[in-house]
Amino acid sequence: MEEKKSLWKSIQEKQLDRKVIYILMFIVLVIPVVKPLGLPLPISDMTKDSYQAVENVPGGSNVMIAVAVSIGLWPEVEPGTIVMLKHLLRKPVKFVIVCWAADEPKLMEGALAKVADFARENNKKYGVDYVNLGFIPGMETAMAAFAKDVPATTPADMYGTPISQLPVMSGIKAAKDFALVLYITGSDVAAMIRQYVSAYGSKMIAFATIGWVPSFTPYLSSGQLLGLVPGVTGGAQYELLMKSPGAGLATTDALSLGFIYLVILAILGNIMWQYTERPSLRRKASKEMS
Amino acid sequence: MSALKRREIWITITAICGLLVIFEYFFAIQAAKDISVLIQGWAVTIAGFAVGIGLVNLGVIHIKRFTRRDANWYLSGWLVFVMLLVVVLGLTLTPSSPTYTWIFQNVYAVVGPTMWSLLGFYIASASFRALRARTLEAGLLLISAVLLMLVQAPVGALIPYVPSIAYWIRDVPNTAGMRAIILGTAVGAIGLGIRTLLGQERGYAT
Repeated sequence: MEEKKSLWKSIQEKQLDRKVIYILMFIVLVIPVVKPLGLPLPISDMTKDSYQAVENVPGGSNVMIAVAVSIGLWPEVEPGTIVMLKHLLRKPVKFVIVCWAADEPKLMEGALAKVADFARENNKKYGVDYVNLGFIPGMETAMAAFAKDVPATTPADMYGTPISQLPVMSGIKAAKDFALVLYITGSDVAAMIRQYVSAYGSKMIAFATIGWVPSFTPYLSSGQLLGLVPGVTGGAQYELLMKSPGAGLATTDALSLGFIYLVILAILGNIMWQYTERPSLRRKASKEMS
Repeated sequence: MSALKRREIWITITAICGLLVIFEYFFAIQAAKDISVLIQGWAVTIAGFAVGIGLVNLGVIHIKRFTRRDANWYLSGWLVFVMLLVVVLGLTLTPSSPTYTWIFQNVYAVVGPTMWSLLGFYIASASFRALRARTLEAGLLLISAVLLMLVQAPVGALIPYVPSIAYWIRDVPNTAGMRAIILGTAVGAIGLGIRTLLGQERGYAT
């Protein structure tokens, strides 16, 4: 019969059961959601720049919101999207939502429903101050076609209303009619940079999943992206700047503890490896040498 | 019909369309812009059909698996049933109907992120088991990963020296590497574009 090992004995033998790792991860993530710890949240420069770029949009301008994020990654960019929509609704600007994948029109419909009260408070109406044009297939080809000729590419919004009947669309013909492009994405930004920033000199900021941040930094340092709101953390920082707490701030404690837990696991794994597996590997190597 | 199988026809059409769109990008001529808009409009329509073809293809594959009673045939049957249900509801009630929205918000929008969330648990396990400083390069990778993970944790950015070192790693070596990749990819894309316009790509094989 197999002897039952204590947790410490398992750790010493570097055989920490996956289930233990998973359960601890679950506890680490759930505790701060149930009882917020109020850990401090510094605001990054890239989020401040994004906020400022939206703040600097002149009154009466049009803003384009392009969306390319799969449903699985949506919770990561949703807090930033919601607070950005509130920011736009607070300002005297119009905005147009366009989606490059099939999931997104419904996701953005849900996001607009979450800020419906805020829209009413600011006297903003669908079709007059903002519109959801829905999904245009073709990815980069769709991006290029929309940038070149908006009415030819999207004759109607996602509910089938012709854009000629939507006051918000009056005066919007091409990419040059947008004062700012906001790109919500769970993938690369290069295609949008090519089709909008390089081709038309559009000003752009991105709301991206955190895994893409290292890939976006060349565009930040070159000035092709004015700002970047990275994942839930960026969304929470944006909420702080807007003084509008939401889902981002509610989950940052869990994020903090989750990342620290990962770091502890990586360090613990290496310490265990140094004291258990590595000496045996060395002994094996020296045996083979002799 | 045999004339349509000649690859020269398709290469010529591709080359003309490609050259017209490239020409319009560099020269602001209204006639070229009109043609370019037309061609890109066709491309968007064709992409829309591709979504439909994908749906039919997926349906045919899983109906075959279901009728042949292949391994996990019941999952294929379930996939076809759900797919048809959503398509029929979308076509009859429209995607903005409450029923369709309920399915989207309470099934699809929950199941999708749940699958991704499982990654967090696998990454925790991988941090303990796989992130090893076996060599100097692996050690550098480990240190970079730990610093960047700490700085991603909102509270980690308050630890002295961690943000400045992590942001330096992100903004200097990482940006340099990413720029090299972007430039390399761009040169490769130009080469691919030229090969496509000249009919040298395998996609033309009949």
